Amino acid sequence: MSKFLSSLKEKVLLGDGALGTMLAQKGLPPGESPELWMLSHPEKLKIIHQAYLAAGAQVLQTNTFGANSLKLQEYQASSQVRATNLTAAELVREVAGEKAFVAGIVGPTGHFPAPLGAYTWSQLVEVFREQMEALQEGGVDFLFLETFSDLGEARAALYAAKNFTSLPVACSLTYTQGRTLTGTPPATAAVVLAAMGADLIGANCSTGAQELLPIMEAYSQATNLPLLVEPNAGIPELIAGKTVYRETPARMAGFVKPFLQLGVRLLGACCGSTPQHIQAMNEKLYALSPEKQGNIPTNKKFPTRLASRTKVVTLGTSELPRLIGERINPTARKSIAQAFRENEWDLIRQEGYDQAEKGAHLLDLNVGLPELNEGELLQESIRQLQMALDIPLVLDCTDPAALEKGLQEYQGKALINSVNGEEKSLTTILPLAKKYGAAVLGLTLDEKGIPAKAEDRLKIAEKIVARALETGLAREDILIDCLVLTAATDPALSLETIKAIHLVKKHLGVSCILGLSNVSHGLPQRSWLNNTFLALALGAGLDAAIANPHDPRISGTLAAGALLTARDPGARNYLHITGKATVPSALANTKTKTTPNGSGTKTVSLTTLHTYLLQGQKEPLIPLLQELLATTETDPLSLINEGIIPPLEKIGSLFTQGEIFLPQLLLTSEAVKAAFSYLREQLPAAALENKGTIVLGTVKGDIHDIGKNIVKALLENHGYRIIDLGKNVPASAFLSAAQKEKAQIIGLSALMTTTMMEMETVIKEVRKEKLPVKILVGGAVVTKEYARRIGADGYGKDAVETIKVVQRLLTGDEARRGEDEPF
Amino acid sequence: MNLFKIPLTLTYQEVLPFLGMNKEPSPQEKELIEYYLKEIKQKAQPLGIWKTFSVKAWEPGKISLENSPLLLAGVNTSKHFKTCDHITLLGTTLGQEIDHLLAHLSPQNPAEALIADAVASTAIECFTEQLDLYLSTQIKRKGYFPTARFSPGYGDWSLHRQKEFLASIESEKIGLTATAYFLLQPMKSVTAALGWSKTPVPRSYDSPPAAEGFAKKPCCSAQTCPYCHLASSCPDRQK
Repeated sequence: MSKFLSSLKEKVLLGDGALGTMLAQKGLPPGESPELWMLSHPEKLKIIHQAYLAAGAQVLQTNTFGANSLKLQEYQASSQVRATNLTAAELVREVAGEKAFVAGIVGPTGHFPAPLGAYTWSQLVEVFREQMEALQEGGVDFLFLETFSDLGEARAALYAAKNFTSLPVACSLTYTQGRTLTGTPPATAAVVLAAMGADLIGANCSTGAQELLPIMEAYSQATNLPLLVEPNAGIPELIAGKTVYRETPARMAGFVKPFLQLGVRLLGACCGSTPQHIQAMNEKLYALSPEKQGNIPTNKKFPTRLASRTKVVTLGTSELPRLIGERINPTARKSIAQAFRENEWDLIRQEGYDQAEKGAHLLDLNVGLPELNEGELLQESIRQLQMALDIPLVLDCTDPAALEKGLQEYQGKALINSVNGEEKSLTTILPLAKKYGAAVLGLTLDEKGIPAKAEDRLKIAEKIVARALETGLAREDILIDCLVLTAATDPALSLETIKAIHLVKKHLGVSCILGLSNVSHGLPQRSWLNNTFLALALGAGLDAAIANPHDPRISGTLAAGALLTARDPGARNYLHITGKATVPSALANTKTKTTPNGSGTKTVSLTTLHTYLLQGQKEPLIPLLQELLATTETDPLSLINEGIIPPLEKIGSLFTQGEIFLPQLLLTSEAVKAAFSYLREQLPAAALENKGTIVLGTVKGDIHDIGKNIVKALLENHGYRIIDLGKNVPASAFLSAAQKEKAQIIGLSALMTTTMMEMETVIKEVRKEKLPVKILVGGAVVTKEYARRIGADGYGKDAVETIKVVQRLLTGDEARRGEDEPF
Repeated sequence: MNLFKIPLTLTYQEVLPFLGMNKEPSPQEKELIEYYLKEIKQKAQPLGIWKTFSVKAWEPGKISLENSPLLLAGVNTSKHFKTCDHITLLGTTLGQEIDHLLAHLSPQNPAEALIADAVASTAIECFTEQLDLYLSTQIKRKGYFPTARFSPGYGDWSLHRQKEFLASIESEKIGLTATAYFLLQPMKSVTAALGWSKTPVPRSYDSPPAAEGFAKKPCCSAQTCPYCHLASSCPDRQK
């Protein structure tokens, strides 16, 4: 073990602080490359390193944050990679001697791997390799990957470090609001990077110490690796006109103990910090005896954990059984094969969404088509799926070259499906799992085929597990599939699989997966067989099933099976699954709602009608209206006046008072509309007075129409006839519609300062033609002053106010003028 | 200049201010919000692009940039960026799919259209915020202090400058353009400038007086309080 790693075991190491801000003080011109400046001012760097050493730092960082070819390219200096890294490392070593460790700093390239950015895995690995080899040559003690904000890029850097150098590697990411820029929470980062061989894991930059505490807490729950943290400190902020330095050295020192208690073994500081900060932290560290420095138990047991870029899924005896969606498989499904051949990625993504929607926790991805390049297809599929979905993928591929491409592309911790007992498989696939930080699923078959007896399948499983452990995989990252034979050919063999699961769980203690569908091949009612077999397998300890999520029974079998095998404490999952609503849409209204008297019975009364309308419930409306018309003595017109108008007015005033908001207003409005149209059908044509005709539209050049549509919905409910011209409507169209429809009002809507001028144009045209029409204007940018200035007749501050303005304009009723209306 | 896609992470609580709601929604409203959150996360293709320019000249009411035709015009604009050596111009969008989704909804279902629109506005605002934080970290590392975002349309920085803005960042690379009336296309998009200040600056901004002819409500002419990322710090809103 390296001296650095063994030191970490014995004690907490103090790192140093920021270089950037210190360099600025020493004369680094703003905007210049710190690495290139160092080449001409090495003595300035030495002074800074010496200051940190004197302050107590036991780890000194090299000035190489941007010393990779992509960052140096911005200064036309990508040929200087080796020179800058070597110089920086040698400078620090000169100062540190034997007194401190030298950290080879590797920062991000500023570019993300595809699909998030434009660079490929190989390109990024190459960039990191170049820098890291130079740092190793320069004599650094370990590589420190710092301020990474994308897990994909961090994986590429870690891969380069592990494969092209023999140095320990620390991985530090930067978090805002609990996630990296590209959506990775700390627990997920820990799972993925630890599996790929990181020796330390941590967080730095972006925020101060306080905000990093929960991040470190999350890390400590997710890994046994030693942690590192480097918060920002000492960055001045302008608060209420004064320059304030919140993170003083003393305040930073106050965080030392809390971080140690979370398992931090390397503690430093980032942007804004100075030797004074390190000094203060050193004094605090010194004051804590080695015992108090933290003896964090580092033997937490974890179940099998697989991860996407954003999410971890656990598997194992201590966890609920999981569903792996099997549908993306071209051999089994012609439509999928077609989609792959023709690059119909929408279809593939939709398939992914649908399976996730139906409860799949993971997705099996198989792209095996003989005429297509499996590696490239796997790469592209992963790219498409991992951008769209956050559930982890199972890479169903046995060709090592293709699989490797997939593992490079996949920004998470994949499950490789599969390896088997054959020598060739073991020697080609297992190392890939280790190299790329994946878990592996072993099939209990070998060159002799699938053994009939459970005991023989166990023997193959034993071989696979032993070899995987030898390769360096953790036991929880080795899974076994005891294989399912078609019951049609030999039903007795189905029980051998169940027995095999039992044996594997008992003797090997690894997670077990099964591909269910094979059991029912060639028999009718496949779902019965699949689900019953699943239940039997769950009884034997199965941890996950590869199955069809569209089978409506599967979720139930999994949930019930979990409950009955004591994997669902308090039946929480079971209750959750059974209580789950189906299709989300308020218009479907499948949930039960309370009725006014709180019981399940419906009271046939106007009050009930009012309640349904106010709550926006459409489903029970028509039946209630029918009953009211049939059983009471109300006629349709009175029902409108007494049953619908009052709640309509009420909801308007609730809205004005701020008790309810627009969405509820609209939901009610839709219910009212439904009630109205039913009742209108019951009335003779002339019975409903036409209160007026209004032409509505959004003006030319403007395409925002939500506000206008809301006004339309409300006006229709209040009995006005609306001619909706839509959006981007020229003045001439307003004119001709008003003339043709004999409208009393034209309503204009605009949302932008660049389009509201059109309103004036419309008004001018209307006045020119001397049309007896009133013009009403509204929209976010419009004010009553503007409305008055351009000669409008009314201004609608919001949808409900607009109704009042319309009423006033049509009745000419001065008494109805709102208080803040000028005209 | 770079471009990225960043996956969206949004909760329903973040959407409420964009619906003008300061209370818990009704179960129906919540269901609709959650539904559209999922739809929009699935259909959005969030893309961002940016480029940094050095400041060529500063005078009250006008800042010019090296290698860009864009003028950061306006009294408040120039005040906001007074101490800056460089300006990063950024553009973000949720993509065409979202426009199609919203257009399809609008006429028939006003409630759903309203909610879907608010979710999309929240999404683009949060996405822009994430990109802002990322760029701000880089600005800080170089020894500068990032200003708050400031966009064409704020105060008296006329929206008519939008085309020069977009040309400066080669926005067509992320499918972002403007109409003849200077509306961004796709609709759910943002353009913003981030300054690299030599001295610490507040990460909010002083509310500018409204320019002639624009809305004279006691705050900026952007009129997008529920949508404005500066809403929590805007002194006029607090009045």
